[in-house]
Amino acid sequence: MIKLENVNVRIQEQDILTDINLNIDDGEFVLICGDSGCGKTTMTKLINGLIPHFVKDAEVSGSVTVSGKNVASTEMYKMAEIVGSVFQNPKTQFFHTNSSAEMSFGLENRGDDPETIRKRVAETVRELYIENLADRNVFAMSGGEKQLLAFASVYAMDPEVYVLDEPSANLDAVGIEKLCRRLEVIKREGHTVIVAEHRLAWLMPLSDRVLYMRDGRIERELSRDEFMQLSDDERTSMGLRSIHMENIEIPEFSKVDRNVNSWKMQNGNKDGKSYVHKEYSKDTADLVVHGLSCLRKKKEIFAGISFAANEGDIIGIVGRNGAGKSTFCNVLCGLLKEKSGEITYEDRRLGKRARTKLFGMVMQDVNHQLFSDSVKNECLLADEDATDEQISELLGGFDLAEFAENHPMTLSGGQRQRLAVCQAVMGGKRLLIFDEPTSGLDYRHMYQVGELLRKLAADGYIILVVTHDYEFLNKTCDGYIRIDR
Amino acid sequence: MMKSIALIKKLDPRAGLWLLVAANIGMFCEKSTEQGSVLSGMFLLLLLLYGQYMAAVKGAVLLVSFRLLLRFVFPLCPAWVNMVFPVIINYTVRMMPCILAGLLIIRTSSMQEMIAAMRKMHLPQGFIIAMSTTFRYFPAIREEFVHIRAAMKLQNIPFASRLECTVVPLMMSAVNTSDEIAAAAVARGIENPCPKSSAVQIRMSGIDWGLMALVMAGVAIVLVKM
Repeated sequence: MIKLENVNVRIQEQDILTDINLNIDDGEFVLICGDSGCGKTTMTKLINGLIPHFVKDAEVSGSVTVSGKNVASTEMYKMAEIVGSVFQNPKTQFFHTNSSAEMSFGLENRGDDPETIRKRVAETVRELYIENLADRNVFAMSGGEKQLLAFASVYAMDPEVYVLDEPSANLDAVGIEKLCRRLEVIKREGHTVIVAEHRLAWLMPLSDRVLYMRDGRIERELSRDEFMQLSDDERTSMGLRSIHMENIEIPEFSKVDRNVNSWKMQNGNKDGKSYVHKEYSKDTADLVVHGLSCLRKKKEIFAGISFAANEGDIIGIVGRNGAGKSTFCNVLCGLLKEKSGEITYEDRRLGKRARTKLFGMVMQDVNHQLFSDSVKNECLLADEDATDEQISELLGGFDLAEFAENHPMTLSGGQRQRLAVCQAVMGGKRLLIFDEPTSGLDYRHMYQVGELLRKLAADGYIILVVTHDYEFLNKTCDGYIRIDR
Repeated sequence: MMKSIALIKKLDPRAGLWLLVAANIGMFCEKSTEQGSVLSGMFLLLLLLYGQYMAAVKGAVLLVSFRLLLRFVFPLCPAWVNMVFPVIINYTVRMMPCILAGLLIIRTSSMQEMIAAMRKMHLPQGFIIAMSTTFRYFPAIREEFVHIRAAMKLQNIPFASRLECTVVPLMMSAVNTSDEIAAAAVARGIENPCPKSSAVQIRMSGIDWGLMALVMAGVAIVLVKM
């Protein structure tokens, strides 16, 4: 049983949580949802003990008890034996560099017998169907693979209570399926599970109760049935994502018969028959990618990728975790060399260098591409001859004008993303690739990213978006390409 | 990955550390370049024995070319070159046995085995955690660096300001990640005071013992007799 009584949390003079009263029964499955910044993560940290044990600048009042233990007065390592936590960022949850070592980490910490540890790790791998993730270098894994491994490492410890903070942000449909099935078993076995998530659909069959949070308060508490009965409008006005599993509804790129010089975007099967959405021919399309393939360390990452695009197109790139989507983007941008195939833009065949000039990327971790001490200097870095007027006009167009003198690190995630776009625009790029721009975003922010992409498309850019987020894909893209090994 | 054929399969990390100590003793006590060369040669041989052929070849090429530079090229160079480079290269050459011994350890044992070895040596828990996080950090930084370099390439950032542009995002991510990694480790009970166990088990073999004696004797002979 988990009990939060009159809990208030203040961090750096800001109210993060106010008046939280909550009882969670043993074996209950609770979903916490709400806007980014509504206090979901703080709730999870109260339960796993990171607040107050690890976050030192938090002022906490009220009491939190988990399985009869007062969290504040229980040692952190004792909490760790009861509560297993998966955190938001898959990149920073690893202690080891080898995945199997990582799965045994928690068991080693509590001094389990070596034979038991090895058995348990093998069991974990089998039960989660992650044979492909065993004994691998963690740094060679994709974001989704890391996320699944993070869950596996906690699952290996077999905790009484699971606290998961956005465990599916980077997962593909198959990964979600694996996670979902295992959580079903976990629930059946009587474990308590608390999940904070934006992607709601896969959690619907599992959740007993849904907490809707806003501005640090639990605004509504609904049973699953009550939550399912909310109308789409009501749910969107609460800023929540779809509760139905989304299938891709936009057309897929395919070649027109055997004619290699033209492509069409075609819906596989809508109302029983396929129809053509758009057609491209090699001679008229602005961008033509033909037979692109890539080798890394003598292994084929992807092969035979072909598509065409015109200015103003928004094209999704989908594929399983670890299928080579990121590598594809890097090749397209000219950061990596292709093995074969050609890329033509406005009838000009582009080499590696020409591509780095014309094609830009907004990375998944946008912090990697912000280098300056102010928003304005960030733009000057892209074009040192830009005048003040040009910069303020550009920043104005992306709602960043008032932050011109601010340090990029003081901006919110969405603002940083837009700043990276400003850089690309200033640098004269014609094609922009977005790598998972909506992972971990609520409905409102996802919508904003969609708007941003449409604005760029209207300005004549070609937009490519790597994503697992089908809700976003359907709402934003004209068509999609699938990359699969 | 390709598995290469090695004459000796397994080096216990503890024996590896012993070799590193031997290399250090050799490095600090050597009096002539010949002694240094023989010591480096000894560790190159060890790399070969453990199947690290590429590493051995690279090390040998580096060693020989540095020696040639020092012997033949620098004497012909203008004074300003001799102000800077010979010092750096000279030190690298002197440190070669240690570098090679370190390489041998890293190549032959995983981080998990290293931790197991440190536990068996009854080193303090805090020290083990500090060491292992340091090891974990190198590939993490490398990963960050690859992303940042890609971003710089796309931004067309001039060569002169690349260093500066690398440091800023690297520092930012270092601050963020170290905190998050620590939180994740704490939430999985790293602070548990009970004796910790290891999923991998390590054992000193006869070969390990023999090698330790042989290398230490070798170092002693080189230092005394040459």
